[in-house]
This record gives sequence, structure tokens and C-alpha cells, in this order.
Amino acid sequence: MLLSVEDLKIGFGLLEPLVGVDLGVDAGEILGLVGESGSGKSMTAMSIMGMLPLMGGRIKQGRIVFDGLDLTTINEGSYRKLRGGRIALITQNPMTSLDPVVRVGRQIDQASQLHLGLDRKEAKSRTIDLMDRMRIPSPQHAYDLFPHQLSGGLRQRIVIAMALAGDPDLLIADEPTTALDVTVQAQIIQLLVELVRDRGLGLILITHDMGVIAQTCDRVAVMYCGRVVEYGPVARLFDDPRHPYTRALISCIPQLGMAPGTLTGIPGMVPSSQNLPKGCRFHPRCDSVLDNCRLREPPMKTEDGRSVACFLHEGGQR
Amino acid sequence: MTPLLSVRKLSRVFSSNGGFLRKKRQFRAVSDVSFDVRRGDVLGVVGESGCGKSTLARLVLRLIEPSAGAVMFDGQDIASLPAGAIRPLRRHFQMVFQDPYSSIDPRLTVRDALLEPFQVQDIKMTKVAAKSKIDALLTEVSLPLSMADSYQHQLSGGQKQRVGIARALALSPALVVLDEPTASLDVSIQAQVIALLQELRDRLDLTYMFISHDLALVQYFCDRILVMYLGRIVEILPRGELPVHPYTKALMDSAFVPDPNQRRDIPRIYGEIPSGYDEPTGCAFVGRCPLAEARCSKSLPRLQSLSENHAVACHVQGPVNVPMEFQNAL
Repeated sequence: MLLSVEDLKIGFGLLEPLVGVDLGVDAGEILGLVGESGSGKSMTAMSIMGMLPLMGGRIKQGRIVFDGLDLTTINEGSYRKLRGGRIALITQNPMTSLDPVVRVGRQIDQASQLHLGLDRKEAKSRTIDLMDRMRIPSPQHAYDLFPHQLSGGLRQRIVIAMALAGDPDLLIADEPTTALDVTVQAQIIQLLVELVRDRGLGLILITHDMGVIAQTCDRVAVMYCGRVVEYGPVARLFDDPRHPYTRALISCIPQLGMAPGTLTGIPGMVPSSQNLPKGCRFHPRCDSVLDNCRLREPPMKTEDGRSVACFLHEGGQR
Repeated sequence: MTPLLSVRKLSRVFSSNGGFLRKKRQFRAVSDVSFDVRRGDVLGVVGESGCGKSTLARLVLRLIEPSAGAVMFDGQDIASLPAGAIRPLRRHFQMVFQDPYSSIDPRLTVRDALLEPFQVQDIKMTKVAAKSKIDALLTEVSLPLSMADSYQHQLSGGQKQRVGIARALALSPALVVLDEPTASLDVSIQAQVIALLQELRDRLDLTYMFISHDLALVQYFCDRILVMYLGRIVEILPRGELPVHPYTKALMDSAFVPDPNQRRDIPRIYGEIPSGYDEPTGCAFVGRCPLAEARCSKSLPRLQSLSENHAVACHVQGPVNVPMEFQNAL
């Protein structure tokens, strides 16, 4: 495993926005993190990036092992060498990750100068090469542009080029296409998939769209209210979703040829972490509640390569 | 029966002010758009950002002035009426905005926000009547009655959008224009809101114009779909029919099917929507179209009928009007 997160629990004061998160990603593999807003997807990304202390949180329990190194034990100085170098993050809105007053080419240069120790000239030729591979038209010209002169799709390509400039092993993409148009979204997702397949990167793809997950990922972790509720290979998870939440999320996607009135959504909404329900966190919205669900939290059960935290599957019975 | 809404040759040109050493430029946001919406129908409008779909919505409700064309609402041309004569008519056509965070005044309670339309229309109500109206509206959109005293910031995104819908319904309109009402919501909440809109349409006999960038959602929800590209309609598609225009096909192929057993190579078209300045002489899609031919960049394809409800504007895929014997000559 390139990265494995083991039994992670984080705390902000008394609040615990993530509890018992277990997941892993290998080189050349795409792991999907899916769930509604407020389910802890971005918080997981922030924990891996070591940004919790900057946000006022801390890791209470568990390990994050990246290439044999436990990231929960290293200091900020060692983290800085990893961040943007071996682990890179792509955020949802490209405008917030770009400096509006620096030419985009220079911004990509900075990562390779810092992490690969290139001089300015080498960095520039590497940048133009990267921009070309991101299919940015006329990279020589685009190098000298400012972010506001580019369209949303091109900006996101610049951000991806920036993430790749430090030659990372692991890429975390946090809703990389939510702000983009559908045809551009498809292009960016395709680009990320190619990067993983061609360069053997590990990719954690965070999204709320089960469609994107189905089309791209190898494995999926479905998150709800700060817990992973189901985890497994993508094909088996879609063919036979075990957790009612997974099933509900899949049925929320409108598909061609769907009869009117069949799209119903999930009733209610994600509770806030100050106000979690007793028992299983999903039980107030679940369509197959048992008595047990209201009393205790279901533990994660692993069975031939896939895990689920639901009393419906306690002890292997359906 | 006459359609509830008939739009004819509607256009809007925005011009940027020229200045010292700067030429005045014109941006054609909506060009020559015509369509009908029958009573009780849901008309979908799809396209990427910059295709003019939101401008079209605002033109239809005359929130902005058209440069040319007519908007017949129930037989009356609201595009040419003087501004003062429009206001009493506005209760018949309402809008739900994309961003519920900014469309509700943060200093108003839900109750006050829902009473605003009545104040604007100068409809006087007793306190008792107002209370029962608010209760009825909240029930209509399945919000708890206790929410009337909440402020906008105390609500979730889905709840805010329900308040936005309740406010649009307050004056019992005939037409509701929905401008990407679910774009900022989670998929689970989006499905809830769509189910609510469907139920309201059946119960209150509403007509919708539903604007979205999600073709799968529009095909699920709408009876007819207008596909727009750079201010023009490229295809009008009835529910359940397969798209013909290469752009509509590309939109459909860009959707991610939630089934890992049906994986496919993702993009079939490249590039992004060009700028609306300096309109090309031919088809606007020519730069990205996989089927483009020489004639596509020379002349603008007109919208032509394929069948009663289906029309397409494409030289290559459109209906062929040339007699068979001359086809080889082209």
C-alpha cells in the first residue's frame, strides 16, 4: 500500500468529526471517497495532508502510513518536504489555489524549484512540458498569462500541472470538477485517470457523484457523518450495495430512460457533528431500520475483501 | 389551445462601452430564439455556462429588456409592455433562483421573506390570513411550521431552496422559471427537491421552464428540452427521443453513468465554449464538432423540423431538403 489510513480519529476540541476511518490506496490505483457534504471527505484529505494543526484540530487515534512512514509522528518541517512534493492536493475551486498576481507558468515553476531543486530555466522547460501534457493549447504563450485570463477548465489544468510539478506519488483531488461545465468535467476526469494509469500515481478522488466514482475508481469508501460505512472494490459495491446509504446514494443519480417519479432522494439531511443521533448515525434517514440501530453503533465488519458497518449484515446474514 | 408562453425571435445583445483606444464590442447573449411552452408542460433548457440560458430566463420574465423579439405570455406581449404595466402581471410568472444563499435576505425571517411578494403586489391581508397563508406555503414545500421564525443562516441548503420555491408559489403563478434550482445542492437533496417540484406541478397545475446544465436530470424531469449553444437553440428535443445534434450527443456522452460495468472512454469533444464576442459566420460549434464540414463554417444552420416536436440546427445531421437526385452534387 502506498498510503494506508488505520482507525483514524480526529478531534476539534470535544468534537470528533472523523471516527474509525480505515482506507488505503496503492500506486496506479484510484480510491473514491464519496458521501454528501458534511460526511468528512474533505476532513480526511486534510488529515492526510497534515493540515489539521493549522485548522485547530488534532489526530486523537490511529495512523496514517505513507510509503512506510507514519505521518502522524513527523513534525511540520518534514511534512513541508512531503506536501506539494510527494503528496499533492487539487482543490475544488482553482481560483483559490492560484495566486491572482503571479503568472501561471511561474506558479508551476515554484513547485519544481522547491521540491526538485531545478534552476529557473530547467523549471520553465519542465513547466511547459507539463502544460503541454495537460493539453493546454500553446503552452509557451499560456505560461505568461495570469489566472483571470484563463477559463475555468484551463485554470483547473494549471492546478493539476502545479500538483504534478513536484513529481508526487500520491494525488488527492477534492471535488476537482464541481465548479466546471459537464463537457469540461469529463475532460478533466479523463486527464486524471490517464495520469494514474500512465505514471503509476495513487489518486484519492473525492466527489459526491456516484457516476464519477463508477466510471473511474478501483475502490470506493462511502462516508457518512465522519465514518466510513462501506468500503470495497467498485464493481462489487455497485452490483450489490450492502449499506442502505450506498444504495440510496446510487439511486439519487438521474439516468437516461428513468420513469418520472422514481427519483426520490434521501429523506432528511446530514446531521451536524454537534448533534449526532444515538446508535447508527444513518438510522433517522434509513429505510430498513432495526431495533438495534437506534441503540448501538454498528461495528465495521470485513468479509472477503469488502467491509460494511450495518446491522443488516451482522454475522454475514442478509 | 394557445400555448401559455410563446417566444418569438428573441435576442439580447450586450455592448461593452468603448473608451479611449478601446473599441465598442457587442456580446450576443441570446440570438433569434423561438419556442412555445404548453400549459402544464415542463420545458428544459440545457447548455454549458455562457450559452445564454440564464439570460433567456431573465428575458422571458422581463427582468432584463430584450433587444428584439416578442414574449407572448397568455396572449399578451410582455416584451413590449411599458414597465409600469408589467408589475401587476408579475404575479403570474415567478422565478426560483440558482443560489438560495443569496436570493433570500439574511435579515428577514422566513415569514417575512414569504410575505414580501404580497407587499410588492400591494395585497393587504389581515394578520390571521397572513399566518394561515404562511402555514399553507410551508406545508406545500414540506417544511415544519416552526421554521417561519428562522433566519436564512439557520437553514440548510435544501431548506433554503424550499423557501425559495415557497416564495415563488406565494402568489399562485401559472409559470415558474427555475434557474438551476439544484446546482448548489447535494445529489440526495437534489433528488428531494426535484420530487417536490414534480408533485407541486401535478397538484397546482403549474408550468415550468427548468434551466440546468445536467442533461440527464433535464431528460428525467422535462417534457421538451431546448439545447442551447452560444446563444442559439441547436436542438429542440422531446422526452425520450435520441439526440441528433453532435453537441447534444456530446453532452449526453459527458454524463457519468453510475454503473462500473458500463465504463467508456470519457470525452469525445475537446475545448470549451468560445466567447460570444465576434460571432462566427457559420455554426458556432464548428471548432469542437467531430463531424464538421467546410460548409459548417460558411453558413449558419437554421433550426429545421425532424418531426412534430423535434427540431435541429445542423448542416450535417439535419433534415435533408435537397431532392435526392442533387444530393451527390453537394
